[in-house]
Amino acid sequence: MSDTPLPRRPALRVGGLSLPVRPRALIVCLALLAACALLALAGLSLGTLRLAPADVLRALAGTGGPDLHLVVMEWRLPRIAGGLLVGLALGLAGALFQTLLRNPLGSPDVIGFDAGSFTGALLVLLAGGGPVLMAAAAFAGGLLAGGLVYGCAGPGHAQPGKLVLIGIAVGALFTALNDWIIMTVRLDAAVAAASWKLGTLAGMDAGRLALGAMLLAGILPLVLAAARAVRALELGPDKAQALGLRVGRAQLALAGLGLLLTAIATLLAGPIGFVALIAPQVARRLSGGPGLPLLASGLTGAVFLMGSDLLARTAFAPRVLPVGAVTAAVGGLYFAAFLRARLRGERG
Amino acid sequence: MRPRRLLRAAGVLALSLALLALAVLAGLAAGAKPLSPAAVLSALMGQGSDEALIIVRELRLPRVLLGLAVGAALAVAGAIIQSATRNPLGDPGLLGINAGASLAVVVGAGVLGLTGTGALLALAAMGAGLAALAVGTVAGGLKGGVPPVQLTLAGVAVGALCFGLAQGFALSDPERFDLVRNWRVGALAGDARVILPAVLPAIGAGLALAALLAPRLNVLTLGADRAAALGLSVARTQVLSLLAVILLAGGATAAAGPIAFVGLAAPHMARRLTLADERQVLANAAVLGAALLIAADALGRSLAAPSEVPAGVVTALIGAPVLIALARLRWRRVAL
Repeated sequence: MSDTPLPRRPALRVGGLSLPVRPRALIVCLALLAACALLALAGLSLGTLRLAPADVLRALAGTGGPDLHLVVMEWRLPRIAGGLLVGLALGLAGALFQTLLRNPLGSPDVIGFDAGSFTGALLVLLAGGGPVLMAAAAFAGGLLAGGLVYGCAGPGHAQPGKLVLIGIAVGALFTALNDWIIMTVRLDAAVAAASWKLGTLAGMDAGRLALGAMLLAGILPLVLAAARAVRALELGPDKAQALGLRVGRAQLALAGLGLLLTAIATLLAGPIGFVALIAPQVARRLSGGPGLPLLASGLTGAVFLMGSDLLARTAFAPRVLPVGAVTAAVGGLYFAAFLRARLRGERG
Repeated sequence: MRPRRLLRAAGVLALSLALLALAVLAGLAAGAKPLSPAAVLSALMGQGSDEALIIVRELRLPRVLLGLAVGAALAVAGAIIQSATRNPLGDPGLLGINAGASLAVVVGAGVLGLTGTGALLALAAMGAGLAALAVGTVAGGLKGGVPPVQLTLAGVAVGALCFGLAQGFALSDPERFDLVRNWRVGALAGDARVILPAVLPAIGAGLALAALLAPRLNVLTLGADRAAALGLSVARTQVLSLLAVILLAGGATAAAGPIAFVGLAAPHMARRLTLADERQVLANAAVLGAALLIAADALGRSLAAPSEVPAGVVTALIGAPVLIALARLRWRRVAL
């Protein structure tokens, strides 16, 4: 019997706690963070009024003078911060739901959860409610859509394809409802609401932004703490149970967190498509692990959304596109290529 | 056909036509000023008050006729997709074909500044064709045998791409946006007396092609291999089917914007009623699709009178549950 010791894996050890760290995953996360910072700097500098990065940094430090303060801190920063928050929330929600449904298409934008969330938020907006009520309604709408999808799919979700199909139908139902609501309101409100419906980071409301940031800060530790359960569920419910996970409870908790993240993103920017679908898949390719990495998915979502928003602001300047149009165009292409590769793989 | 089957086929078609007549009556009666069925009938005969005559014959009748053409076109396009790809989830809206046509029209009208109805129709047909080819390429071939969910997902991807681009163009210019606002969801609100003559040739040609194709589709539903063994030129049938779908979906979208689920629901209703014969399925689907769209439009006009809910929204609200039911019922045959 040879006595080779197990290879010692790098880990973060604090007292009795030990969290394994894969160097590649760590590097990917750091690189994504750096990309976020670069995109933020670019987003703060570029626009109708071009600023030097040094000026942006001075404005951020509070030593730039009133004009600089107005442009950077009051006009551009909310939009950049909103992009970061929404991208993070969507990437995380996508990773959670795709793991739960064990299907890359089981993402909240495909299966109608964000359309449901948006119905709730839209109703409160038109009724003149505040951000807290809007967040609650967005969560309730997502919950309703989720309940509909699960309820119609019936017990035993062994066939994720069926659930995705039903989700597409439920999404179409809520989208039609949203269209109806938007059509029946006055034109000025309709243009704003229609922009919001497609997903936009423009006109980020300070109250909603603060609420979204607080909620996300509260949820993020919970999501990262759930990483162990996510890893176990990737193996399938049976094996997860064998590993000692209370599967039903874990699934319910993860779905709740995912819906909360979806509601935050919808509250801030409307139902932005394709970020939640694509970010986890890209993050998995980047970090090379077996499952969907949570933190890297969130950061990839942030990079994707902030990059798309930069493109939306600058590509056809002075016209500004809603960012959802850009994510749909970029994401639709990626999704089509992904689907094609996957279908080929299944056949060959 | 044996006499009993012929009798049954005639009976089913009569039932579909009766439903269509009911829908037309509802379409003429419903609206901001509801009329009684008797008033509608006498106005059609040319009697009654001047007001009723104008409302029925000049305002509502063209719109109902537009609904008739668009509904029939969408339903037949859906039925052809369903049998040519042997896929119960075929629908030009669900598969992104209508979104492709819609994108082409938005780009043509907004960016290139085209306004003629004929130019827009050509654009819509081109967009529909490109979207159909894109969906086929993504799903891995137009030859059929692609599992339904995969085809649907490819359609959703292409549809979302086209929809996002179309919305981006439309929303980048709010003044133009109001023009497209009613159009992009799918509605019969345009001036039917201008639109209908422009799209009728395309839709008519598509319907005629479909009628000629029906016997071949009967053979094709046996599967490509068996159809080839029986002497059918499979490739030609599929190309002609695609051409018919492009004419029908492009024409319908150019006339009314992207409307989903009529092409899904109407052929399934027709299949429930008829025996397995594509000739009967196509004929009944056309009649039922027209009835469905006219009824949806009538419902949309009376739900929120005096304003109106676009027909595309009503068909989605009615049709999405149909998709859910299909996913539940036919799951054993529909696997990812």
